[in-house]
Amino acid sequence: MKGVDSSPADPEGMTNKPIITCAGDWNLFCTLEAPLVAAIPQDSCEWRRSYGRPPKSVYLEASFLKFNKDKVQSELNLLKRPIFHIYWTDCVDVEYYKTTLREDIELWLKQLEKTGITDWMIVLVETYDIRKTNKLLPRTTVLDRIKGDFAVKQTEDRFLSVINPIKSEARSAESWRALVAKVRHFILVAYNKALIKFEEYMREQREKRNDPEWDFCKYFILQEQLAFVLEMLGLYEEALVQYDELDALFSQFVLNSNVTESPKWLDTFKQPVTAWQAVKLTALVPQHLRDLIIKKKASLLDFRSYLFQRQSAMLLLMFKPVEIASRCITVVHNTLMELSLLGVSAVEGAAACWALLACAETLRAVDRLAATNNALDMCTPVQAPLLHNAKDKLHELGKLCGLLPGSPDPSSEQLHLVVMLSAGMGDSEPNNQQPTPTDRLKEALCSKTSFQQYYLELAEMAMGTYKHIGRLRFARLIGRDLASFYSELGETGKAVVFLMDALRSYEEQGWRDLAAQTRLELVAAAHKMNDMDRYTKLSATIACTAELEILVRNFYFEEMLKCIKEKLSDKQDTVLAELNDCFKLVSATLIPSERGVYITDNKVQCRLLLECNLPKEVTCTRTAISIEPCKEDRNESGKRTPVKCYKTDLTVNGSVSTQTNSPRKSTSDVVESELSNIVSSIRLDDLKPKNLLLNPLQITSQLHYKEDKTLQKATVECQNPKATLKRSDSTKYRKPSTTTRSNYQNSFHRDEFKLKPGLNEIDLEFISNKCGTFMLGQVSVIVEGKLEFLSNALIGTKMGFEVVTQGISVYLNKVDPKKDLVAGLEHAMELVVTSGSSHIEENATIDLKTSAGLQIGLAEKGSPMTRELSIPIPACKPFETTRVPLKLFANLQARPEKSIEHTVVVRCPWRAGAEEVRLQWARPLAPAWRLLTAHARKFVHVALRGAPPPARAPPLALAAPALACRGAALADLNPPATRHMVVSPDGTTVSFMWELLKDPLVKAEPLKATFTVEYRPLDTDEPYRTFSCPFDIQDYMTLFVIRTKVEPSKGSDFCRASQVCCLHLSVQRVNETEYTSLMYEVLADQTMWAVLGRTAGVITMESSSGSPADVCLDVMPLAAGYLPLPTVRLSKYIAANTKDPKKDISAHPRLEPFSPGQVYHAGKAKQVHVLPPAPKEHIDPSL
Amino acid sequence: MLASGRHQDIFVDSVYTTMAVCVAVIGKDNSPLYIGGIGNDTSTDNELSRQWLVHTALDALEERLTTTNNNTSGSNSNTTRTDMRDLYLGLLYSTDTHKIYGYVTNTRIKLVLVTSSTSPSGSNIRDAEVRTALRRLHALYADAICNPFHLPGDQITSQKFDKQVKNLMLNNV
Repeated sequence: MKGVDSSPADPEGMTNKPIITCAGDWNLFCTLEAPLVAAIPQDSCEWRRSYGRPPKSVYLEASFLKFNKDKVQSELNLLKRPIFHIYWTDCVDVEYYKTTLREDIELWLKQLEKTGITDWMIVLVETYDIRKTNKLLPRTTVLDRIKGDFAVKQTEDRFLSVINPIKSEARSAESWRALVAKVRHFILVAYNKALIKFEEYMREQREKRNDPEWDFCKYFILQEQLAFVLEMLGLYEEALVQYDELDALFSQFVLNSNVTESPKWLDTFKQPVTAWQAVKLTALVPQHLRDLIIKKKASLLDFRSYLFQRQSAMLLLMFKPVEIASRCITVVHNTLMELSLLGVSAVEGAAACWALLACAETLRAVDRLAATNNALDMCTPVQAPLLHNAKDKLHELGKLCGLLPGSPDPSSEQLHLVVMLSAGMGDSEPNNQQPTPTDRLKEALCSKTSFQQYYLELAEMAMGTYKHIGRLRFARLIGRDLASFYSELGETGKAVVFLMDALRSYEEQGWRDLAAQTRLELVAAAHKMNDMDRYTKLSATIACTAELEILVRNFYFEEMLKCIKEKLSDKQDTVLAELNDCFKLVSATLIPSERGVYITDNKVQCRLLLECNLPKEVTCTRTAISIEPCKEDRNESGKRTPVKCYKTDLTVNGSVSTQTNSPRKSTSDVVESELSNIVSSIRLDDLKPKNLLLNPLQITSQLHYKEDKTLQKATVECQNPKATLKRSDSTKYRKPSTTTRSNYQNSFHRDEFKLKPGLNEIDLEFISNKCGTFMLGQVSVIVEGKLEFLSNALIGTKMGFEVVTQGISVYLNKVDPKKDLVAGLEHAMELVVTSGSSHIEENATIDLKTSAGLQIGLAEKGSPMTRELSIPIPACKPFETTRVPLKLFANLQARPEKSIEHTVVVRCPWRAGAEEVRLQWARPLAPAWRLLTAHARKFVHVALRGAPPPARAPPLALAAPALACRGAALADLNPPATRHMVVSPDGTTVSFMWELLKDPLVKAEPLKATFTVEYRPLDTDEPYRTFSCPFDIQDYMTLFVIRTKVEPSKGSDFCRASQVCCLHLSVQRVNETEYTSLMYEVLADQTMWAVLGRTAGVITMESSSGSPADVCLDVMPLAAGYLPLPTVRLSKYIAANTKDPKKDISAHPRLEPFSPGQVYHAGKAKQVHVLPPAPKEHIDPSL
Repeated sequence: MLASGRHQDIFVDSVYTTMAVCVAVIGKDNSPLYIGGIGNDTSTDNELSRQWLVHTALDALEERLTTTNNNTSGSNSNTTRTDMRDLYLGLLYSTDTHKIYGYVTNTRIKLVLVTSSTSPSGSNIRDAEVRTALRRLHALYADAICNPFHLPGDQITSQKFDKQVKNLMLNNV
């Protein structure tokens, strides 16, 4: 504040201080004036005010005048009017007082009274007299006399004696302080009174404002007095309020003038503006402007300048630079508006000049003020709009005066305008080192270069300041202005930088109209720079911008085509552009292969749904999607390339489809899971982050009850509000960095077709010569051969596909899969060779080798059956099948197993190693033979049975059964008609019988017999095949005959149950044998027979005698009826050999069985009739 | 000549009742959800220029929001938000020709209203009027997004909303 005050006094400035008149001893006062003037502002005084206004602490100053009774000011002039009156005297002599002084005072008071002044004071200046103080009784002093004469109750304190400080400084301090305090106090009291009166008057005047005769200027000067007084009292804030009230009043008048009839006084402000000097922001009152207002000659600009300067002065005094700056903008805007509302005529550009100067001056003032108080940071936010406005105004002026770059040289009218404008700005301040804003502006208007310099300075500063305070949008707006400026200047490169920056921000935040507009500017810049790449790209984008007019779009579409044709045709590379600018990738779908999997060297198709935003049809040279091998899969691919080369499958009908899953099984689980993530179809819309607000809210309703079970409240609660209220990610709009072109060596593509506006369905093709997993990469659309649009990589979408190699497969198939392979019959089979995805070369052969017992041959008639076969395979294209018919024959051997297993070893030229094919053959015939005995006669029984049910052998017709036996004659007991004998797989048995005619004299050597029979499938004309079954016959001579008989015990006629009977056993030797010691065992059925006593025994047959050995055993039938006789088993009894332990290890006797044919049991089928037990003779009488 | 003169009359007429020349609803990510403007398009005053006004207003609006958030004790700016719950932010900034007012909902949807200071009715507008207009706009917005088929965050394409907003701007609700 001091700084402001101490500024050199402007001659125009007013120094307003409360005026105090002095009457009485003027010479006396003159000695006291200097200390008094210095003392009053030294301390503050509390100003208590009426109307409940808050008390203020006020510093006062004062200026003193000699009282002049003729020069009495109106009480409505607050400034010029003395506010306080003091009568000075140093009279100590009562007599003198009585004679002259009293009259003088009386006169003075009367004069005051006449003008209604009550604010006065009488000061008696005393010289300090040490003697006086010693007096015990104070004498009546002059002051007492004065008091006695003039004082009434209210004015008692207006009489004061003070010890002259000039004469005795030390003693006077106290009384002097009291005087100064009194003076301050009474000044304030006086002001209070005066202001109340004044405000009343002012209000009165204001109420008359709608009078036709009312004059704003007069009122302004009136109310301004109040402001001056308040300023004088240091109440700058309240002074500002006065100005603000005036401002508002004026503004309202101007605004209303448009709606209602405007008052007469307003015409003053409608006068043409002739001067537009810069506002001067100092604490001083711009007197010349004030004079103009008083004289009612102020133009609107003058008035506004004055008002703003005064308001700023208050703010400067209050040290509020921020407020000044922010008010400046409002004032400038309002003033410009008022100029137009009032229709004030002025030189074109005058208003802009004024506004620019106001802004610049404000900036200067704010800078100056802030710099002294380190408040620059605080001011920056308000400086930016000022700079912005100044820049805009300068541009406006530049346009008017033809100073903008790119405009022709200023015309004479424009030069004249410059002169006019410069004149209106007035002369610049003298002796100023730094050029004032007025100087700068004048200079700028003089030449294009200086204009350009000033404009760029302002613009850069405005932009920098905006950036500094974080108002990036404003900064970009200025950036656009700068861009157009630079563009006109020919520095298009600089312009492009600004425009690109702006474009990016508009796009990021979804301001599409603004982005479109900026693009139009960019395209013009590109055209100017002859940057054909950029021009073409931007033309394409503009052509696709839906926000723009179709005419504009069509124009740029044609421009794009023209540019491609004319400017880009000689270029080697394509021009890369962003796909999203012109197209929208709606979806991409891999079309499933007919075979279920994608196979190498085969087409893989991808359907792309592309929305084209271009306004017209365009030729697409190529649309492609790059393909990138899946990295994780690369290691696996080596393992997987030789996919199982072939497979033999006999259980199923050998269709290819069973193979499809096989390659997957060979890969590890890791890859499996990786592969399972691959998607084959995407809609690009699905990739957008999900709108959180669309998720269902977890909301529960709850009922709360009071203790008495009445409902207290019902609430609805959101369980997890954070998830829903989370701020959306700002990355949503972030564009990925510039796309680089992927490798399109492997790609889905389609060439040369028309892209229509709107949705296009494009089928792209790719033929893979490698197998593995591939991911879809980037989409490229080349338009007209030169303009290539690239999408972001689709890699993130995990869209991909798997290509496999399908190897050659070889199958050995049955022709009729329902039939089982049956040994002994010829079977038709075929070798099926499927080429898979590879070619089969010429001269390829497949070698087959069979196991023993299996023969193979080509199906043609007459081709030999061998165990090794080499089959030539004709040359084959992919996915062709060659079938080679074969016949196979497995020997039918008489073995007990139900089926026979044979193997075929297949050896293929395209694969090292061999593959074994196992073939199961069923037996159609199961032979069984038995030796049957009838006493000494022997019969051979051969039975042939069909294969049991699981085997599906055909029924066989049998013919020419024969049994050959060396060393023995045979008698054929079979009926001659054996032609129609059939063995079918349902278990039918065919039996044959021969009698073995043995010469009893010949020693019974083992016999070798062979049974042969001819067979063929029933109802066919196939030649009969011979089935032979060799077998040995041993120990077939009957040695012993056993006879058994059961007789009733002695005394009984019949066998009765539960009665002991006698079992007669007789063993007779019928042939020579070395076995003489025999053991018999009775093996009775224990339900029918009980053997009493011994059941076994040893008998010795004398080799010489032929008489039978008889044994009798007691048995008891347990049941009645015809009971079969107990069976008897005869075994060889070999007694314990005690004599020669070497010969026989066993020290115990042992049994050896006879062969079945050696013992003939004559009573085998015999039965005995057993009667029920005899009835009881006596019955117990007690029952 | 005659025709253009007539047109001018009609324009002046409409301007008399017009309170706002542009109204914008801006999402919390600062992308425009709705921009509606009335008034005739001249070279300096057209829909695009108003969009720029609205766009730059976001800077001032965000600034206002951060300062109010930081100064819990109350801001010291000249447009103090006396009540922290007051959604009306007052005058954001002004240009030679326009004044831009702001309003922010609790879900950070920004409502911007642009008045023309060159038109008599626009220049004479009171703060309270703007406040009511923006409050009404808030209500209209709330009604519009109550449509179950409206996705939050999408642009508002409702014709009814558009009509209501235009009426609001013409001050004949």
